[in-house]
Amino acid sequence: MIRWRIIPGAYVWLDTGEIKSRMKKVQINMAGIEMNLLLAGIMMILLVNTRYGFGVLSQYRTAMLYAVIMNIALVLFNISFVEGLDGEHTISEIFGGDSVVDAAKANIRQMVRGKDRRAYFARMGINGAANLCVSAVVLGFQMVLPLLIIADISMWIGDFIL
Amino acid sequence: MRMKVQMFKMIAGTGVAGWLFFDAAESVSRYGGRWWNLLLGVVVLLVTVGSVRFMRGAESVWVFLLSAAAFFMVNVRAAAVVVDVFLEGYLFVTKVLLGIVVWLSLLAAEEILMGVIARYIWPRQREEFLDVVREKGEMD
Repeated sequence: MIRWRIIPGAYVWLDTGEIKSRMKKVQINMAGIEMNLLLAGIMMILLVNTRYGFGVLSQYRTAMLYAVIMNIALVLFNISFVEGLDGEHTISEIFGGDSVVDAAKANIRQMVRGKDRRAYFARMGINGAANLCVSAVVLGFQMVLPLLIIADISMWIGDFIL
Repeated sequence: MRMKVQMFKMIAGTGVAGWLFFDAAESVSRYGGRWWNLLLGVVVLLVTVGSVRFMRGAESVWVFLLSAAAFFMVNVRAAAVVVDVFLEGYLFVTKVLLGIVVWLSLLAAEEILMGVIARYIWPRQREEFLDVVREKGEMD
């Protein structure tokens, strides 16, 4: 599967409604990313220690290298603020609990009508400008998935051209 | 006048933090030293957010924004290094696209780290960023 660039994966729906502590929710959301980093680290240590062909593990070095690359790729993707991923859940908890992507859309939508815009800035002041910049950054993160898809297509094209 | 002073503090603090982060990253990649500038940059950024008056009560939002600005050059440099090392022989378009993804992922990691630190320092905030969506939710 990996050879054909198909990444096996699973999605776990977490119900953190019963947990009151914000930092505990952050820890729960970051657990997957931490586990990926731990696996990548263990595999890197094994890769280095089996360099000279010692032990049974030395014949699995290619598999270990794939495991390192896969885990780091998963971390990079999972930590971004794409809606529904761990990074987005974590930053939502840090900001107060509700989805930051929904909040970013709602904040940007306030700029469409002049009346809403004036009311927004009258209430928020300079913090309104900060909210809009943060909204733009958060919405910019939603490009990660399309970018990855286009990058993958360009890799396939590159295989034929180069 | 007061507002100008606060704005100056914000820009100066972010600029100094950005320079410290970049210097730390450059020195680590070349000589393996000056990593403490990274910690110093984080402290400068947090002191900036804590000292500017209009940021009170909305620290998480401002930490998010200022760290995005301060880490900008470091992330561009790191993404360029990652692309050069791991994507040799790929199309230029692929390099650019994956460079942007790496840059965004690094930014996300830094934002989360800075956000957690900010929440430990300032646990009570007004959470104005979520006000609009919360009001909409109540209306629905």
